[in-house]
Parts: sequence; structure tokens; C-alpha cells
Amino acid sequence: MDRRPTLETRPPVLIDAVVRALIPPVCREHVIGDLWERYRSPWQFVLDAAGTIPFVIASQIRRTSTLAGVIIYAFTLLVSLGVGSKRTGAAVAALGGAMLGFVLRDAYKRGISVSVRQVAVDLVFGAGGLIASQAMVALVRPRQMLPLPAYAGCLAAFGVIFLLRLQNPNLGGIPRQAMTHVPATFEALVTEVRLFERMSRRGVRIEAYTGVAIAAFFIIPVVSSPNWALRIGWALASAYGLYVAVVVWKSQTPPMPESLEFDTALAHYRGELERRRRIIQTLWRWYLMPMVPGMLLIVAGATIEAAKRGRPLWPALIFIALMAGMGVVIHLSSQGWARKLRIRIDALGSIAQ
Amino acid sequence: MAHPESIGQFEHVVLAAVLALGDSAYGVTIHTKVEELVSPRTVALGAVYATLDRLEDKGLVTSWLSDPTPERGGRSKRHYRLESAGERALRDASVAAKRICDDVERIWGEDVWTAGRHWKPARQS
Repeated sequence: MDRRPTLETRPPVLIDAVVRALIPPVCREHVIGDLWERYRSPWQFVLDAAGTIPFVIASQIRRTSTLAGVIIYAFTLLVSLGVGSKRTGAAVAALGGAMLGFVLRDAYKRGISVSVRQVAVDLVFGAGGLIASQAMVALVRPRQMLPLPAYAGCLAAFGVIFLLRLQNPNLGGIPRQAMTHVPATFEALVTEVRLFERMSRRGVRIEAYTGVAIAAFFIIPVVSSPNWALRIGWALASAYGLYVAVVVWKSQTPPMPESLEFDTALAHYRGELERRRRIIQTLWRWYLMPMVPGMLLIVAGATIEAAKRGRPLWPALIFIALMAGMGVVIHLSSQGWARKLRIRIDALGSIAQ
Repeated sequence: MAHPESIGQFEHVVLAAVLALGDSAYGVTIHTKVEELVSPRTVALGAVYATLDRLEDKGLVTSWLSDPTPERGGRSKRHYRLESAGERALRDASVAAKRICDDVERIWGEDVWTAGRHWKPARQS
């Protein structure tokens, strides 16, 4: 049967425009073409599109978002929304709205978002989702809206998410399919290498400055804490901040020399990606584990103080569980990023062969 | 040699469709072939896209856009091709499926393939 659409058998312009708008841009071209090819009637077209678009969006979300990223963003926002915790419904709506904003933004954007401007635009979508959720709460239960201080907390959380996305592009900045794309020319390869170097340097700077800031900030509780367990714990946490700053600074990517040919440039780039992959894959060993002693001493010191004042001990257990959970999420996220780098290294290896 | 990528049943069917279609493997034709292979079940076109995306991410197939054609409103087709890892995965899954079929046939006899809808399982709950 010849299914080629003619002037009489093309979908109505309005329906076609709506369907086109709903399909994520990276797969719009071929999906809409296939739907046109199967066109028989407007109703069939609508049903066909309704049965296709949810799968296409879900697949694109799988390719562009990571579960670890969503959990990290949600946790950051949850901490900031602690101010409005008495309004649980509004806080849940705010979290859901912001996450939906981030996830859909990542699914519907073209290419990668690693520059400061692109990451800022990503954040606008997350904030838009949060505001839209509160607008809906305002319509249904106006008294349950988040209080103003909670928005100030959200602002701080979005600042942290901004830094996290700049520092780790795996948290939604780079879609999975970008890892298998291979540069066709020497210029494209050099552009990619320079982008990788810029991203790495930026990530190192954010991580190192944060480490130094943490080290400086934690000196305050070292001198003001009421018991020795807390003091030693905060001192270890402060030393940990400095340690991370030094280790990360030392792991910086050296710039690729200008004089390299295609093959040597490719080998250099693959070598750097492999080095970065090993660092990320062993993150649990050099980044997560050294954090544990300080954290445990702080929890122990806080528990001693709580017992002295007759306060309940369960917050300490919740804190340990939360920190352990975040450690697992960071570990899983780093393993996912290491796997993506492996795919990239292999894809570049196919050109070398 | 790298560990061969494991694939699910539907991925197996989609890989078989891509193999069977050769150079003419794109969304619509792959969907038609998949429905033919899993008949009488029907399959959503979207499920085929999602599976093709997953197979591409696993490095089992590669895709590229053809030139735009007027009969599709000036849109391109996304063509798919099996990679060597995809061929290995398809072969491994097919060998396993063949072993299962052989065992089923040995126990229930050749009628199991020809009896069609009249065939009833030996044990009925």
C-alpha cells in the first residue's frame, strides 16, 4: 500500500504544529517524518502521535537526565525548603515542579549545556517549574503557599545547583548520545579538546575554592564547640576541605600542545579522558572515605551534647543516614560519569582504528 | 574481548528487524517488521524508538539521517545499522532462544509450532 502523503492526505497544519512542538528537538525531524509517512486520517495521526510522543519524551529524559543528578538537586532544594517544612504539600509541589523543570529542560534542549549562560538558562527552567507549582498551590489552597523565607532558601539552593551543574556536566549538561558522536575533522577534535580542558579547569577551580572555603568556615566550630569530639571532628572536616582542594588542584588537565597532528592529538585527548575517568571512578576512595572520620566525630560530639541536655538522639541517626545516602548517590553518579567517559574513549578509539 | 552486552527480549526483536531490513531500516519499516515478528501482538511506534535509542546508547546500532524527502513533508529518515557489538549480542540472544525452542519442542513435540491458537498447554491452572 502506498502511504505517501499527498496534498489531500497531509495532517492539518494546527495538529501538525502541536505534535511537532511536543516532540523533543533532537528527534523531531525523523519522528514527525515517520508520523507523516503513516498518515491516513487526522484522528489516526493524533492517536499515532499520542502513542508515540510519551515514549519519545521518556527516552530523551533517560538520555539527558541522571537519577543521581535529580536526587542531588532535590536534596539541595529540600534542605533549603526546611524553612517551609510546616507546609509539606507546598514543599513537595515546589520540589516536583523544580525537578520537572530541570528534567524537561534537559530533554528539550539541543546539544549540550556547559557554558555559564547555558547553565543559567537551565536554572531558569527549574525556577520556572517551582514558581508554576506554587501558582497551582495558590489556586487550590492559597494559605498553603511557601512562606517568603523559603524562597530565599530556594535562591541559595539554586546557587548551589548552578555551581554543581558547572562543576559536573554529567548532572544533566551532556546527553548520553553526545558521547558516541565522533568529530569528523581535525578542527572539530581540537574544539572538543579545548572545551574539555575549559570544563575540567572550571570544575577544578569550583571544587578547590569550595574546599578552601569549607576549610576556613569549619575553623569557627573548631574553636567554639563545647566538647573535644566536636572540636576534633570539625578540625578533621576543615583539614578534609584543604585536602580535597589540593588533590583536585593537582589533578588538573594540562593543555594540549598546539603542534600536534590529528593522530597524536587524538591519542593525547584519549589519554586525558582515561586519566579523568580513573580519577572519577575512584572518587569513593579519595573523596568520600576521607570525609567519614570527621563526620563520625561530629555526630558523636553532637550526640554527647544532646544526651547531656536530655534531647532525643534520633536526629543524629537521621543525619548519618542522610549523609550515607548522599555518599551512595555521589558514588553512583561518579560511576555513571566514568561509564560515559568510557563510551567516549571507545568512540574516539573507533576513529583511531 | 569485551563482555558482550546483554539484551532484553524486545531489544532482541528490534535488533533482528534491523538485521532483516538491511539498508532500508528506519522507524516505520522497523516498526512494521517488529509487528510482523511479534504477531499477533501490536507494538507502539514509540516503543520501537525508545528501544532503538537504548540500543544506540549501548553501542549495538548506529544511526544517521538521510536526505530529506518530499513524501515525508521534507523530513529526513533516521536509518539504523547493526554494529559488530550488536551482531554479537543478536547472535548470543538468538542462540539462547534457539536452545529454549529446542527444549520446548523436545518436551511438547513439533505440534507446538503448527497447532497455532488451537494448542493448549499441558498443565492448566
